[in-house]
Amino acid sequence: MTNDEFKILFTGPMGAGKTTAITALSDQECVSTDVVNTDIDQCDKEMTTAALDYGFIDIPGGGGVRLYGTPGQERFRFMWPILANNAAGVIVLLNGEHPDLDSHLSVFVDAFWEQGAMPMVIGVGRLASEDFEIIERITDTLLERHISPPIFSVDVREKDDVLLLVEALLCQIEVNEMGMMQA
Amino acid sequence: MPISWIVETMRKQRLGFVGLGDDTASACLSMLKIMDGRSEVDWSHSDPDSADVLMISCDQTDETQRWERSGKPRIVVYHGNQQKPASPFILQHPFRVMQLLSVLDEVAGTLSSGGTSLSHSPAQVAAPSTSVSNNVSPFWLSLHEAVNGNVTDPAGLLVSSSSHGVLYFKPASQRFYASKALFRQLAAGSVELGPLKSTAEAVPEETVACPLFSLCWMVSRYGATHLAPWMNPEGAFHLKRWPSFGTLEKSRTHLSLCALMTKRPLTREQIQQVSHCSEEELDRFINACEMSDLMVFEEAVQVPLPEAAAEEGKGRFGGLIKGLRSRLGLSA
Repeated sequence: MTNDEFKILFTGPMGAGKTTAITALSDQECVSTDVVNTDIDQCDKEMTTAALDYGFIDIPGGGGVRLYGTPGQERFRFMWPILANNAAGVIVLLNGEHPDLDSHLSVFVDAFWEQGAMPMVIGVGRLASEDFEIIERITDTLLERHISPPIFSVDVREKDDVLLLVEALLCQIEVNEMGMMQA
Repeated sequence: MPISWIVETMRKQRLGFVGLGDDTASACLSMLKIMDGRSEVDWSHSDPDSADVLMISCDQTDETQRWERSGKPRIVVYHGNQQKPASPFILQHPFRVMQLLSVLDEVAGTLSSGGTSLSHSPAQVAAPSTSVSNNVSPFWLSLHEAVNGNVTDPAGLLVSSSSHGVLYFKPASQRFYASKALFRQLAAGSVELGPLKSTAEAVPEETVACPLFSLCWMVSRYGATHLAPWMNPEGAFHLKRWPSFGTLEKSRTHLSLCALMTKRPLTREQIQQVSHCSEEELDRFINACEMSDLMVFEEAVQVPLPEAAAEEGKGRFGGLIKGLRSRLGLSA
């Protein structure tokens, strides 16, 4: 990665919408390393990411933003720190209606939070528009552990929702750049 | 808390007592002092002759009957063991500051609209319009009391009337309930709410719920037009966490404010310097966060901004972020 580029990481369990989100943003076709999904219990889809998803946003005047998606299954967890290396921030995507939501939250936030050093945004999908209870429950769960990233209800099929996650991440990156850490 | 700037712009009204016991009159005078600057108008005590509004006992004496014929607006005070008076404005003794404030604002709202609805029942009185001055709306005041536990029954239900329907609030769960249409009107800023009052009603089934912060944000645009008077404008403000956005407008300004204010305590001047947010928008944001118990105040801590904070776009990713925003159409 060159000096005129930075990296945004998308992570979360299988089926949370990482590939969809990267595809929504990327200038080029998303590069995926899909394999046949053998974990139908976790997510009912034919293919899933084994190594990474990759997209790129070209910035006029030079440079760009690399978008990486981690594999969602924990058996490919060895890829997570590799992909997180040098990332400017991480977007955690969760499936709000998955029965293992709490477990997913814990696994992916723990893997990337880094005591708040890594700017993080959480997007929870598949929630009814009026359903704020799950967002509040997630907020409370994380607060008990002194973790307080922004959490949004999103539909990653809607580009505006993906842009919201990116904007919330950029705002945090900017603040970190200012040296605004807790005095 | 200096609130003289609020009072200076207020309409003045005089309140006269008729037939109230010494204890009641004394309590009312104390309450008027507590309310100073928090009502829509500046209320002061006067003799009944020169009063604009009378606070009158429901006891039928020669004195009260004489003043009933005066034609002046009356707030009738009655005791729990007495029959509820058939009057537009009533107070059951003993009453609390918020109840007095609420009824005074109802009277003021009616007077300012020409007094044509003085004969209506309290439930029919339209929600008082908020002043265009630097003021705190009766709803915002009553919500402040409610979220701070200053309600008769914290487990009970409160209700606020508006011209577009009724809003319910459960202090215990910090949930609001109303029709979707009313929430839409509130989000659009096209409806104002009267003060919250206790009710024995149940929440109607057809209502939907709304969390505290979302509602606070919706109504903060007219709840308090500047920093609420109970907050120290010279203090440092620190967000405990990002708000639950819900129906909040997800603008870059608000996201930036959240990102900044969750990092460390900052004064309003510092926040404005870094975020370039308007004073009005910032105060509205702080008011909503404070009402939702998301805000921590620090009176003395005022750490200077890091030098990098003043150098917009100069960080490692500064230029890239600007370019990315432009590329994605995210520029403010």
